[in-house]
Amino acid sequence: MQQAATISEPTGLLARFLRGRKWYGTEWYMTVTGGIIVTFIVVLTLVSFFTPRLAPYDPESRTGDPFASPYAAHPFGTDQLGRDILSRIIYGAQIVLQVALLSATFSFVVGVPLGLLSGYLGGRLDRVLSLVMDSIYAFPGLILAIALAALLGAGILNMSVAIAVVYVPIFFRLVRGQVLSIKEELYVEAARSLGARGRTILWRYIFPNVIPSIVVVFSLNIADAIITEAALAFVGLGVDPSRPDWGYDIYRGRSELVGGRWWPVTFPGLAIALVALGFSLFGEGLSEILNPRLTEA
Amino acid sequence: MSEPVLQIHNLSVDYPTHVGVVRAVDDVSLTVYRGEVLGLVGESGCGKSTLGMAILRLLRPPGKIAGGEIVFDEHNLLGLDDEAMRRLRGAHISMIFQDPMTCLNPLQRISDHVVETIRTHQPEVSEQEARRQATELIDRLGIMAERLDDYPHQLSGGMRQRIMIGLALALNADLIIADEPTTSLDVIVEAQFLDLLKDLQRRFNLTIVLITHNIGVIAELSDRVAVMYAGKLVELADVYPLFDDPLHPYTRGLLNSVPNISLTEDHLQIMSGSPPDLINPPPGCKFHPRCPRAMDRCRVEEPPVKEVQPGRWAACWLYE
Amino acid sequence: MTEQNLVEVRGLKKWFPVQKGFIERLVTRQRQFVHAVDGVDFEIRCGEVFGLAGESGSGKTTTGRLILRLVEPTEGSITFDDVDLAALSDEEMRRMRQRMQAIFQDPFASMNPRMKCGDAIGHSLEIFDVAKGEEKRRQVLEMMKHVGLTPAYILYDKYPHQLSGGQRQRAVIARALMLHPDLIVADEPIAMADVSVRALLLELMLQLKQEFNLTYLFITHDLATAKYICDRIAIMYLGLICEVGTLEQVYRNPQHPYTQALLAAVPVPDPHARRTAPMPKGEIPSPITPPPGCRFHPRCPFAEQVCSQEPPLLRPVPGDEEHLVACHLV
Repeated sequence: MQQAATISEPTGLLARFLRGRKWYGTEWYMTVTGGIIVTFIVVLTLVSFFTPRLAPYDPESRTGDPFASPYAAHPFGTDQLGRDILSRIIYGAQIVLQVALLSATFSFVVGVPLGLLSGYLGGRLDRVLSLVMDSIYAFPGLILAIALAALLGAGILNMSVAIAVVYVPIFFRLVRGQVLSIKEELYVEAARSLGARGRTILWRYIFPNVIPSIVVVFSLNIADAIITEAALAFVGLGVDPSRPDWGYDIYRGRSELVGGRWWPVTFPGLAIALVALGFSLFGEGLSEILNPRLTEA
Repeated sequence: MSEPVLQIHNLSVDYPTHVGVVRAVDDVSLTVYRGEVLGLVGESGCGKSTLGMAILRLLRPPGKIAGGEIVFDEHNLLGLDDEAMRRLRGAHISMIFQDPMTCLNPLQRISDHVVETIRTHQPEVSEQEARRQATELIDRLGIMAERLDDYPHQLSGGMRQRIMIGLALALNADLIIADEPTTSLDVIVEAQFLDLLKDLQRRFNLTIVLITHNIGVIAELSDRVAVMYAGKLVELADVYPLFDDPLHPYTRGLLNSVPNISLTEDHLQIMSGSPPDLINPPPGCKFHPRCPRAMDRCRVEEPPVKEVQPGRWAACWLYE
Repeated sequence: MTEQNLVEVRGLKKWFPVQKGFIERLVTRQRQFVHAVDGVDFEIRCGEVFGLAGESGSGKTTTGRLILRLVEPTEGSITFDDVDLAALSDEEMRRMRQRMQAIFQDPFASMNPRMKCGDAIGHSLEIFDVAKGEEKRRQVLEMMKHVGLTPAYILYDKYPHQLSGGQRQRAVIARALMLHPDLIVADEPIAMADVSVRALLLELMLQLKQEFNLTYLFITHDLATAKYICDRIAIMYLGLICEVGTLEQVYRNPQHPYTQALLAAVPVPDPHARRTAPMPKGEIPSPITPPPGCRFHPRCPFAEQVCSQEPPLLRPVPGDEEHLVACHLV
């Protein structure tokens, strides 16, 4: 009859490190969200700061023989214009990260509030929004991103918006679904019986319980956006051909594979994969911390 | 006294958690005799359900058996392999749970389920014969024959519980363990079910271990009663003496704190405190913080279960 | 407010539409309803503990929620302290909630898992601008001590999953009391508590009733508990009240066959008092298509012709004005 709950042990490394902190209530999400934003800003700043220092060469100028295979001076080899690939990878990170973070943030900022309102208010608003979101969602993501990028033109902002539009429905659906189910919970009814207004209920009772899933999706969204950005660059709709970009480098390097020159394609490809993987794992780890499984004793 | 069907010797069950080990069942010894209804009563967390699951080795991980033996039909159940255990379950020892919905296959008609059960354990029986037995069984359970072809979700909770009993009967189980069988039922349906159980028990000389926190149900059905607290057996006696004159202070407190609808003047005795934390239980007798008669010895030493009077066991220093 | 009725309910009905599949809706073209509450009249007097008892499907929980206007009635009126609740606007109703609070059945489910215990208890103070910050904290701590939720200053910062069942129970009681309401609707408030703790909680509720001058609507399926705490009690079956009266009247002299069966069915914690009387057959019928006439007639051992034709009205038992029964045989 009676159920006592104990939190099960989070197993991720980071999670264990943070185990001591009793993060669970309304403060935590502010702390965590703030922490994540700060982390991203810090990461971006660091990346911007360190790239010139880390990269051995200027990524745009010819510093070695064309198509030199990897060796000491050029650990990742050079591309057909003699540019150091390692430097291009390092500089390319800037654009990739900027676009990915920006687009994920846009999707979040648009999708989450709409999902909250739609789920809570229901009615016509919900029907209209759901229709719109489902339509966008039904469109093949990459093609939509390509179309939008072509429409909007080049540039970090435009690209971010193009990618963001594709992901807004994901946040919307997730948040709306959660709101719909949380709305039926007894503690929401209890809040109503206390006399809480609609917006209080939404902000203090529903939203805090929706956050854990959002944060995880945000992280996965970034991973996805990285890949999408690379894909857009690959088809020539990248940010700026005069700047290093992983996807674009793969595009230009792909015809060389036949000739046995694997390095122009492989290293950018690995970079994309690893960074995307990194954010995915981060999201999973975050999920461990933020969603302690409540078990019954 | 008839022969023993199940003998539990010094059984202990542990649940390791990240904050410590929970000793859910602590050195419990019990015997269940053929044809009796043994009531196992206690509040949530006392270990009664865990004990029931342990008998059939249905403990959910991370729970594990930490010691003792369970003897059924001259075998120690704890030493059997999985296949032998599987053959035992259902056919020899049957269990009915609080929520029968989760025990019945939602995609299978009741009749098919019963027939299949009969034929699994008695392969020589023909389809027709099994069906005939099933119809007879359903009838005996007080369910109308036309419900036989329904799916579980079309039946009510009470009917599903009857089906569960029916399945146990169909297999002529030697022992039926009923874990909170009526807790999810409405009052009148509960009464109907208890009547059915009483009737079937008498007619077929069933051996039942009835696990519940409902004192009323225990009083209605049991021949003997075992009281558990914080994983330990604190009292064991025939039902009448137990209710008339409980030996253990916990039993006394428990019986006095339950409202009795038939009494004119009902004064509920309040038991202070609450059941202990099983990860860090109090030293000595686990009940001592709440016991109105606690002595110094109780705070230090844990009392063993002793036969205080013939047929009456209690774990309490008051009876040393 | 002395001998008046705090709450008056007249002709209260709540029908929930049954969700049907798309095809089914096209084919049958009929709307079906769950007759959760189907015409209920009663009063709750100031300062009393009024019990609403019944099994599942009786409509007791829905009635409780209707009184709090957590669901809108299909028909009927609810008057609280001479105010017609249906006539209030949403905002007015919201403010009325300061005077009527609820205790729900599952304390764990009725507490926001992401809100600290103290904040959850004191939230109503913030909602109605009664107190905030330090003052709120002070008032909450005091109430926590009052209901036995101690050490208060430690438990204030705990989350629901960090509390024991008994503590959560007290927390939801404290939460309901913060604004000193007149009426508390308690829906199975102790059903989920440990057996040995229930008596304590009942005592606490009675004590608080004295101290804070409360009126309780006590909804329960457990007639043994109801007998311990209620002053008057109404028995519900399938959306209707079949009997209502004081404790003495209903328990000592039950008139309705359903009440009699219900009282007899409760298992008594005394082996000497084992039940011998047979129980009515069958189970509670579906509230979507309740039986015609008296809803209990298919299961009633005394049913007569008239019982299947005309629904009986709630009328006083001869000789006892306060004791009402809805049965043709009385």
